[in-house]
Amino acid sequence: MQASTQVLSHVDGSSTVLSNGTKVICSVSGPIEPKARQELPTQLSLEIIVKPAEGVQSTREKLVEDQVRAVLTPVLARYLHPRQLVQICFQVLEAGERVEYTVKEVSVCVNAAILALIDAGVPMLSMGCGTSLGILRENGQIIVNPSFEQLEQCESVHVCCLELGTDVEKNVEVRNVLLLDSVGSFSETQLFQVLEAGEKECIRLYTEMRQTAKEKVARDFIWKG
Amino acid sequence: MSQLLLPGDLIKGNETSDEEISAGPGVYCDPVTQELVATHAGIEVVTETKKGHAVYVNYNSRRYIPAVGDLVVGVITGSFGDSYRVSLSNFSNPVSLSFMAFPNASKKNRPTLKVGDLCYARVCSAYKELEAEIECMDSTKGQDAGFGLLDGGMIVETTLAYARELLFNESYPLLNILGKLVEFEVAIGVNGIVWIKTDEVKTTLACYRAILACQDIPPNQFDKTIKQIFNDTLKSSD
Repeated sequence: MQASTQVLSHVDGSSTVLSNGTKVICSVSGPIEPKARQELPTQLSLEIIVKPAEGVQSTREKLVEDQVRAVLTPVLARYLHPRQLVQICFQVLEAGERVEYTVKEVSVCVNAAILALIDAGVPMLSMGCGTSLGILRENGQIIVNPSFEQLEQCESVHVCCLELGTDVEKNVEVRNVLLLDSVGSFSETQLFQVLEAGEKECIRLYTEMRQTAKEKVARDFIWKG
Repeated sequence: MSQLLLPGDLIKGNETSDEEISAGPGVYCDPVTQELVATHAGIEVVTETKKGHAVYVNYNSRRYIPAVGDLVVGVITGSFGDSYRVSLSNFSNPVSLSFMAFPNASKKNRPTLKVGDLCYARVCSAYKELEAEIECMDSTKGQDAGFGLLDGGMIVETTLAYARELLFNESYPLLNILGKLVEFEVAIGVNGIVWIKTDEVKTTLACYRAILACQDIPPNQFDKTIKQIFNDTLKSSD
């Protein structure tokens, strides 16, 4: 995964993430004043917009928006900003998959959103990480973060997003499963294998994202040396 | 080097001693488990207080959230019955500035600010569920302390951590370097708006450029960069 933050200047937070042929740019504005219909009396409301790499928004992008919302809602400290709005925009630059699939875009959007939310300073209770997985048709092997070609050869494809944090002793802890979405035919044992491989990959991505966030903090406080 | 905290990192509370911990910005106390968790990415700051110690996360962002006691620069966006509506940052909820929150205010003596005017003020009430309120006098100390209309000049939009550094860190060299080159007036709001005014447009512009440029460089390069900017700006013919 290649990631960078602070790429846009007119929004509060932004990031780009490139992962095995899928590239997404994300912007976050907030907490800002919501429209009357978006306002929630006790908590922060989220507006999520996904723009595809080709063509205009369709029901496919609505699916991606809904899945990203399901991941972000529990990790945000929503009750700290009642009657406010956070606007999260994604522009997919390179899809890295055929329009039949959304797994790669969903997982990359989740990672990009978390980094942009950190950049914007929106309060979060944990970090979220997402990865895509595929099970090969011929030998049932699990491929983590498949490429465009590998995706074509898969019997089933999966997205796995986990809620992660660090405990008092600085150990990484997995706190919850935020999203597990699967398309295709697969068995129960295979699903457990997918979860296991997904967990390993998410923990690896988590350490990578911490590094990106660390670089951001160093740039923010450049006068502290 | 100070400790880095990221969202989701648990903060060690001393359970054995009955010392009190005060949680500041960037630290969230879970209402159910009573665990302390960081909510922002930044530097952990622990300070000793009379009762125990205080923990907060020093983080940078661009979006200002009002907090009591903050000094801010706002733009008047409207006036209603007995208060002004003031914007502290674009797209954020507006805050209100009462006509009575000025020095020597009375029912008959109305302040004379217009829509579009800049004012320097102090946040006097900030509940997360309610509209924040600001005032142009320090009601805790009594009299006016340089608050009110900012006439002329120019504003620079900076990040919040940089604005705090300019306002609170007296050893930060930027303003001293500028002061040696030109005479100026400055008002720094922790909402990331810095107002600066000099006698000439050219020097104001040079100050504007210098403040923006120094946001992204370490202090040991300030001297060179600022001199360069002043030379370029003052010599340009148009």
